[in-house]
Parts: sequence; C-alpha cells; structure tokens
Amino acid sequence: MIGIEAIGSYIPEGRISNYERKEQLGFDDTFIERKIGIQQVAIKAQDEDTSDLCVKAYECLVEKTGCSVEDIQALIVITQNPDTNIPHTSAIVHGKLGLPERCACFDVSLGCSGFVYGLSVLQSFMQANGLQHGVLFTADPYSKIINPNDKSTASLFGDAATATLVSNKPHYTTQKFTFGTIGQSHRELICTDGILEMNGRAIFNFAAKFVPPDMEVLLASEELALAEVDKFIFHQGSKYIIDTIAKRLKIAPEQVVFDAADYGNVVSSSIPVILEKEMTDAENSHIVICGFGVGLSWASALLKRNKRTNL
Amino acid sequence: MTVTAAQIKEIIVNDVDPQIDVESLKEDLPLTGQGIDSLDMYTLFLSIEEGLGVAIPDEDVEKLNTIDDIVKYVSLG
Repeated sequence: MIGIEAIGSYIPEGRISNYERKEQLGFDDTFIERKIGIQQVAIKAQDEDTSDLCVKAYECLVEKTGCSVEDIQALIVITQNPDTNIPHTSAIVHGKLGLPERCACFDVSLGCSGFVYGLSVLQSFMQANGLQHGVLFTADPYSKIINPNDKSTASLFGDAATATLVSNKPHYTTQKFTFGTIGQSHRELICTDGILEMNGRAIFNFAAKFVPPDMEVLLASEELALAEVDKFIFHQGSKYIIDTIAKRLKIAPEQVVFDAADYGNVVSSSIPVILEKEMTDAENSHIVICGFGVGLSWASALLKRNKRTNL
Repeated sequence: MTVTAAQIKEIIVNDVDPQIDVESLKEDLPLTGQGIDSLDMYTLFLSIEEGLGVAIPDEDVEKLNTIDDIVKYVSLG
C-alpha cells in the first residue's frame, strides 16, 4: 500500500501587499479581508526559477523525513510555468538534487487541479512499476505571467512550491478519485503572449456549479456523509469561492479551511501547502481534497488517515 | 417570464447576503453602491440563472446594475 508519507513546502519570503495597492486595485479593507481573503501574495526572487522552488520544497521535506535522494525512484513536477519549454523541469530538478540515474522523471501540465491529478498519476505509475518512493512536486510561479495592473489576477496569485513524498509508509492513503473537464471554457483562464487572463465570473460559476455535486459523487461512492469528513481542503481560489462552495454544500465552517491570506492563490500548491499542516492533526481521519481551475478542470480525492502511524 | 423587484430582493437576501436590509435597497440605483460588491453580483447572476432559468451572458452583465435593470432584462428574456 502506498500513499502520502509527508509534505514539504516552500513559500518565498517576498510579499506584495493588497493593502498597499488597494487604491490601484479599487478594493477596501473589508473586500480584501472578507471577500477575496488574500491580504498579500508571495513572490519569488527574480533569480529563483521554478526548479529552484522545487529544490527548496524538497529541502523542507528532507528536514521532516530524512529521506535520501538515493531512495527516490520517480519524480513528477506539476507546472505550466517551467524553467524552459525544453527540457522538462523535472529533469532540471533531478539534476539539481543529484537524484539517481535510474529515477523516472516527467512533468504534468495542469493548473489548480494538478496536485490531485498528480497524486493519482504518481501512485498509479509507482504501483504499475513496483516502486516504493516517489516525489510529487508542485511549482507554478504565476509571477512570471501576471500583469501587475490586472486586479483580477495580480491581487490573487502567489508563488510557492511543494514536495510530497509518496511511499510504502503512508500517513494518508487515497480512496476514491473523481476528475472532470469543461474544455469548451478553456479560454476563461488562459495565458497568451506570456500574460495570464482570467474571466473571474466564469471561474466563479464553474466552481459554484461543478464542485458541490462532485463532492456528493465522491462521498457517495465511499458511503460517507458530508458531515463525516473532518476537513475539506478546496483549492484556495479566493475566500469568496470557498465560502460559496461551503454554503452550497451546507457544511460546517470548521470543516473548511481557508489559509491563503498571507500568501495567495498558489495554484497547484494550494492544496498540499494546507495538507502539510492538516495531516499533523490526528483528528483528521477523513480529508477531502479538491482542485479546480485552468482547463477548466477539476479533480477530487478522499484521503484516509493510517491509524497505525503518527506524525 | 415576469419577475418582480420583490423576487430579486428575495434572491439577494437568501443567496447573496442574509444581513442586507433589502427593504432599504433603491431599485433604481446601482446595487454596488448599496452594500453589494462585484463578487456578490456574481452570486446574484448565478442565482437568477439557476433559479429563474435565464441565461445572462458576460456581454450583458455590464448593463445590469440596478434591480430595475435586472427586472426588465429577465422579463424581456
């Protein structure tokens, strides 16, 4: 049985405050705090590239687990903002970490649903090939593609990276996964000519319409009620989107996590940054993770705590 | 379809903001100046689409600022 053993994360120290540019954005404090919920966004240093963020997240993972590079047999990087188009960023990370030659590496191009997809892909790849240790990286620094004058994106997106150790000593194992795509709406969140553009209303509608029924499908397949889930970790698009999903599902506020006030919407890293903290709480027997965004794509999974292990 | 200002106000208090004093909302003034922000408008339009079965394309949203605008739009739709 393989699953999530540990998660390491890296959120760069740099910050851009939404309070300091609220006049430019046309926001007031109430809107920042109660609606978008994001007070500042994390920003990487100019000389840090996507692979560097992955390396920092891996260093955090090593501090927690003591895992050795010699043990890593597979590595996936989830990104749509790679160091370069060629080669794949996972190969660059492999080189920077000094991983063994017989380590499989590939990138997966997905946005906010990427962590959940990546977990399924890596676990399946490991099971199919009899591997015991793999690392799933998420690193999608949108600061590379943000127009600082576009309030709908500049006020929301931050930079971060995570490294998730998937192994045969899991603290959480995945149960059911669900996936979906609304490809006809792919232009609603798109990067053309190096600049990100987002139709905020379309993304809001997508999340509000598709995520709640997907939660019902996911939990019904496991015969679990909404109230039996200890934590729902939704992609941190904005506080408003999460509040809307929670309201539509009629779930208790304490079941839902919003954590992005200090660093922003960090795309595929938003779920593992929170999961890293929540998996230390032994009370969290069942955790649902759900990513949604670019594509438009979504992916959800139910995680179950392995009661024989403690973090 | 006929819709009334009272129905729109009911959607506002039920789906957008239960704290809002809908009776004080001026039907001929922009909602965004009366305690409803741009994100609340997303919810309002989605609730109208789902509840009343009326599609509101993005290009029409800019024209729908007041309760009166919305009543007229939905009734014509």
